[in-house]
Amino acid sequence: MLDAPPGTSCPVVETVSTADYVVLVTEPTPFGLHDLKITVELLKEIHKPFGVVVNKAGLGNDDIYRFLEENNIGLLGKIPFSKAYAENYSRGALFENIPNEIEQSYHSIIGKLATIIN
Amino acid sequence: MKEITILSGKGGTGKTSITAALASLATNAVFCDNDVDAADLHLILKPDIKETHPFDSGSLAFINPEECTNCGTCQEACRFEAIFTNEAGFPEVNPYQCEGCRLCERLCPVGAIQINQNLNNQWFVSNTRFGTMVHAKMGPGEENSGRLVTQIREKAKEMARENKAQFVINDGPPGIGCTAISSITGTNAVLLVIEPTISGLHDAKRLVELVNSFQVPLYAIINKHDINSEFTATVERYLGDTNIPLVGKIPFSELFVESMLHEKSLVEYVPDHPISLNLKTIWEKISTNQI
Ligand code: SF4
Ligand code: SF4
Repeated sequence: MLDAPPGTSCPVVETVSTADYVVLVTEPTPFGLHDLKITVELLKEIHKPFGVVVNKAGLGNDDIYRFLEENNIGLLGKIPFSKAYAENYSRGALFENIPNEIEQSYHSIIGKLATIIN
Repeated sequence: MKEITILSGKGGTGKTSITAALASLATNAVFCDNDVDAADLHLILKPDIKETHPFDSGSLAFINPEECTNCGTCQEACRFEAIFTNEAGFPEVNPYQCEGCRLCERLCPVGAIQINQNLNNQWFVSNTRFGTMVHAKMGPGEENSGRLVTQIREKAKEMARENKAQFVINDGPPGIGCTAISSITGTNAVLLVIEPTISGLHDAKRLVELVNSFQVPLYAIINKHDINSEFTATVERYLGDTNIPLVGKIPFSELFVESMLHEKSLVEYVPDHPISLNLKTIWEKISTNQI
């Protein structure tokens, strides 16, 4: 698993160039959607299969889901925004007291990824 | 004229939202989006483009399939593995890998390789409701984005002198890569937007090291301070120890996203909200040199 930098700069291209599958993580805000569109353009151009995870779901609006639908892009899952879990993250304690909803969505994302990649 | 660059190290700290808020408070400034790889400031500032300029980001090799005899020389010689065999069985250049070094052009026995200038990138001078803005659009995976940052900063300063503006406000890129370096060199001050998380502080520290090496004065804002007040205290201690003045603390608020959905800065969207008043105080401190 390669953790790529943000954006579409040359290190991003280098990171994804040998990958078999790309997971795009975005958030349902205008900034998120704008940057997602640029990245989707790049991945289509270099013919990489990819899917999208919407993080901080519940914030912002639904434009991102409309974009995914209109462009036939697979939604791997939504991770709901939780201020309490953001507090965990701030301490680096990502594996403590994971809210049930968030744990479920990770499980479902992993399940989908396993099917896609196999 | 004073140039202020807003940076965060880590992405997602709310840097651009804060830049937009300060932009709506600065009455006499030119704005410059230094995050050329993933520019977002225009989504709120809504620039009306007045000038468009091409940016030459280097050269790219192109193989003419009509002339190529498929001898394999170029593919073997390219150190960047930029030449691959396409579906037709012929060599082809991958524009994302090609560094434009021209070796293949020199080696090709039949002169089938041509080097083209890459003019895939552009920069703009625009009007916004807050004043002039200089910004750019880079194609994905393009090179030389650092040089593009230098170029648009130069233009922003020129516009500021022309408009007799007091400030140039640069919305910097995340990270500490070449674009970040280009947004720091020669600027008058760096305003750090730090999020009170372990990764936020870690990335901020690396950025502070970088900014210090250029001997540029630093100020800091802690954003989303109420996400972890204990860790906020840790960040404050770090700032105190390194003599970085803290100009303000902003709580987590969904209003930032909400105002973004209305294509407004938070200060425009809810001018009388405590966070807007807080941002006004911050801008006053920065603009009147109280720090
Ligand atoms: S110009 Fe250089 S990097 Fe580009 S394909 Fe030719 S040899 Fe490779
Ligand atoms: S060196 Fe020239 S002729 Fe040989 S494969 Fe490359 S492009 Fe074709």
